[in-house]
Amino acid sequence: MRWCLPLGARGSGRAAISLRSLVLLGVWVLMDLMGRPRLRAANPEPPMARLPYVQASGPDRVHVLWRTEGPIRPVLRWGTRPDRLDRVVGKDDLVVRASLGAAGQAVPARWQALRTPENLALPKLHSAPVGTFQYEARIDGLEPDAVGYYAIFDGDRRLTPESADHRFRAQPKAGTVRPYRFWVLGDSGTGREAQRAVHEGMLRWVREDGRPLDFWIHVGDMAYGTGRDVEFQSRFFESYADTLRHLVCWPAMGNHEGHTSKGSTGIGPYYDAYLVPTRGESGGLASGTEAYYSFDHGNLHFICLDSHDLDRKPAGAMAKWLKADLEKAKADWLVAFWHHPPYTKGSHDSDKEADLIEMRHHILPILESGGVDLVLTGHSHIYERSMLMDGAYSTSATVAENFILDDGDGDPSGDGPYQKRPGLRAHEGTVQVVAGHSGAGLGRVGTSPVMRRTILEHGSLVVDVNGDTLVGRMINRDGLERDRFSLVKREGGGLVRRLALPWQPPEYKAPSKEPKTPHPPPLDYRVLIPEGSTWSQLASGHPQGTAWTRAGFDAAGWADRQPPFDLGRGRLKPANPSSTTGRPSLYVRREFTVPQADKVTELGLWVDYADGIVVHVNGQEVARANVGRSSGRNAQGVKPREDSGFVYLPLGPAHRHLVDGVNVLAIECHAHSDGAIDFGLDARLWMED
Amino acid sequence: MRLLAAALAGWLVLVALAHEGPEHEIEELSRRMAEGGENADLLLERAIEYRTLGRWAEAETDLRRAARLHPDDPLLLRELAQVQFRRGRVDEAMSTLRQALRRPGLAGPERAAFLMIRSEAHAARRSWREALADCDEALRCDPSLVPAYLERSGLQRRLGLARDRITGLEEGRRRTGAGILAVERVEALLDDGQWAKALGWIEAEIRSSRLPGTWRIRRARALKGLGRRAEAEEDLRASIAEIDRRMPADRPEVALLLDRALARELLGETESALADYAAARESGGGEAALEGLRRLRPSGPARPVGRRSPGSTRPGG
Repeated sequence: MRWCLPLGARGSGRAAISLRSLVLLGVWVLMDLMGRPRLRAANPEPPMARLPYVQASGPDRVHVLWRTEGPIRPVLRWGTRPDRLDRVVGKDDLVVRASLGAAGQAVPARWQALRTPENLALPKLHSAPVGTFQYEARIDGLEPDAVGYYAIFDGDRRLTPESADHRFRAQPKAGTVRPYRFWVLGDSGTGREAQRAVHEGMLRWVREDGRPLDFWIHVGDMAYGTGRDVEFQSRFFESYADTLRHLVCWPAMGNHEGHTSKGSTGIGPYYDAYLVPTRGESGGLASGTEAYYSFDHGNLHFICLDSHDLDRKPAGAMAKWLKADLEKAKADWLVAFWHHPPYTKGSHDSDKEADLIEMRHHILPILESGGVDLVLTGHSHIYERSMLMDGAYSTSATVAENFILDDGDGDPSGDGPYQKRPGLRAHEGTVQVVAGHSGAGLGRVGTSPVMRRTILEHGSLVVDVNGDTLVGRMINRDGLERDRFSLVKREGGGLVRRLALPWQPPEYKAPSKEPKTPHPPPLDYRVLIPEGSTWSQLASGHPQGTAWTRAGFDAAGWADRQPPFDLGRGRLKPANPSSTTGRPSLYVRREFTVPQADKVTELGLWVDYADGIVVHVNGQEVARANVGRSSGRNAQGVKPREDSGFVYLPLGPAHRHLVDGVNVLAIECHAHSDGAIDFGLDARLWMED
Repeated sequence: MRLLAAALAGWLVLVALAHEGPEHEIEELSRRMAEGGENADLLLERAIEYRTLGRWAEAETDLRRAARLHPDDPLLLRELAQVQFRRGRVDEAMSTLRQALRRPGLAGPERAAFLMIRSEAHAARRSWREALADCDEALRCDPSLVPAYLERSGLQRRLGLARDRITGLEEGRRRTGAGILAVERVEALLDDGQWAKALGWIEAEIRSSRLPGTWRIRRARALKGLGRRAEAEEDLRASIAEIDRRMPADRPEVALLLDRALARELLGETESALADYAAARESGGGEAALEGLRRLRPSGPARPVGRRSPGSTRPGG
């Protein structure tokens, strides 16, 4: 069974095509005929380990970053035409970082020779696979709005294809008024189908609308589950490679990246991945840190904050910088973004959670007294968009009364746009958008009274600014517009009146029980133990101890079998109950090879089983289903499986236990009762790729 | 720490894809621990969720248990110290920090992060010199740490180390480029009575600011110091007008309150300045609000216990 065929078949394990995958392929072909853009997971070809992407642009500069496995002789050529790359970034404008293994960390033999004093003196990449080199090339001396094309070389050998897609554009000069368009997304980094669909939906909508993006903003949670370097690679860089190579992504750190990256130290995979202005290179007041920063884009000023792990209080460094930055901002529009939403009733509740409450209490008053127009956040896996509002900082339960300035829908074709006066003026109203709906599982606990639109659907936000008008559109995963709001700044607009009884959204009634949905598999994977592999099986009795789950176990007395394993009763089918004696159990194990364990993001089983299973990798339990406690002969609380057929089962922290080379997968399967009639196991091992 | 972070990654995939808020995650983590036993990763994750909900005691309990399982893990110890400090358990936080800082491998920015927590704990005990020493060491470990320059500046002001303060901020500005350190340096010049020097910087800032209110208060301090009282008063009144336009209706904005309080104090409007300082203190204005109250009502209830710190007496001019 393969779900990722349409995204490009690679690897021997993908040769077998089942009927179901043929059906899926048919659906995809149909989609392609319908004109849907077809995104491929862009796994780089060696020596590239991360395809080039543009970063930290300013009116006179832009950066291009890329990674390789092992060092190259890095050369970035660029020019004003794709076929005439006549300029080269000098060595002084090229920063090299490397991951060569920390103290106590196993270094694969092929990278040992790289641990030279010269290489070890390079700035470090934190937690990137050993042998990774990152190159950061600065192209400067540009004119505002200048468009250029680039290519990466290893010495004279070209590594990137000849393509006009490898291009950049310098920022417009601050204050320049013309149409701008940017994309906003959050909580996307799952590597699953919904993430891909949201990206595709946006691209499709933009293409049909006919105006391209200028840049994009990610409001955090871009690399689930803990923002490790390998998760960034597979769930962000490979997912958005086509967009990243020519459009700057301005990031805010989410709580999931915060597991491995720290704002207080500026260390971690998040900080390795991004270059953002710290010295005011792109406009705004120099922050001196990558944790929070600001930049100008034409007549817009953007502020990015770290809502996750820095002091949010007014006396903290971030709030002081924010105040000082706002004092200087002179753009026509002010947009702020960070991860934790001040108002939400999606998968999070802003009336209960400290991070969210503190952003509302401490940071929003500073922003609103500085004239912020639009606040973009994520974290809560839902789309929520407020009315035009101001001053709602209450603690106990957010209310709308007297904090809503315009309770219309803000839609130019509905109640009309929200009105403000030109410039940045304190307390004339802000629109809050929670855009945490770009890939992760959706959730809702209620309805925030300040929200005009609450949509539990995957999607993202496209924002257009043209002179005195800002329009935001929620584009869903199918490329359809699901919400539109507009802010217009004109003389005579923005008569501030606080509504005592504003429009209120209908009360949310939670469904009595959410239907249980199967865990989605990763979009792109490599099969480590394919269908038809031979396993060692023990079907009579129980093994002694746990040695059978580890490497080096002597499997004499175990049979060699190919799945399905079913004790001869017919796999997962009703059999004659009288033929069963005692509660059946079976044990299977198989070795598999992982070339470099620190590159593994996720292991998962594509498995059909009944009734309960316990899964081990290299002697460590990594998953169980329908088995209550203990394992082996002592397994207790085995329940009958409620569903049937193949499902995807992620193997928890399996990658933690992997080693370079040979590893062991061991699975025990238990029937729920002595007279079980529905018992057996079939499994393949996948690795997210 | 790397091990711990890596360990979290796998099972979090499950949680991440069907996220239902901290209560749900606590439930899920508790269930997992009930079934499979406790481990440091799960305890840490549950502690983070408890912390999110403000359930500090439960967060500390989980972190203690996690730290017992992984006594050398700096991430755990840092989280534990922060939670203890947040709960006001300064002695316990100090003990945790000592344990962490004894680790021989702890260096660079990670060591600096611990030192900054300890500096804060020392400051909470009003042990200013110890707090300053930790700031200094933190900056030796990580010379790019903007909050440490700010914290050190505050401590030096308290201790009357005006020249060290100005030099330190200048060094920080050079190393990090942080605009906020340039702002603080102007404050340091004003606190040191270097009116003319400060004025040059202030004029440039006023010219480039959209909202010059705070800078006009600084200019007023300098002008007062130079004996130009009428011009100072004009600046202060203009600043108060700007602040009044920007002040939120529902919940006062602390930085604006503090600015207005200072402007009113400099105008000699003591009662209204006191009201603003008191409101700022109520809203989380911290030491700055408290110092204002001390200056204006030295015999009142807000007067600090213990000796008067040299740098806390004068707003300027």
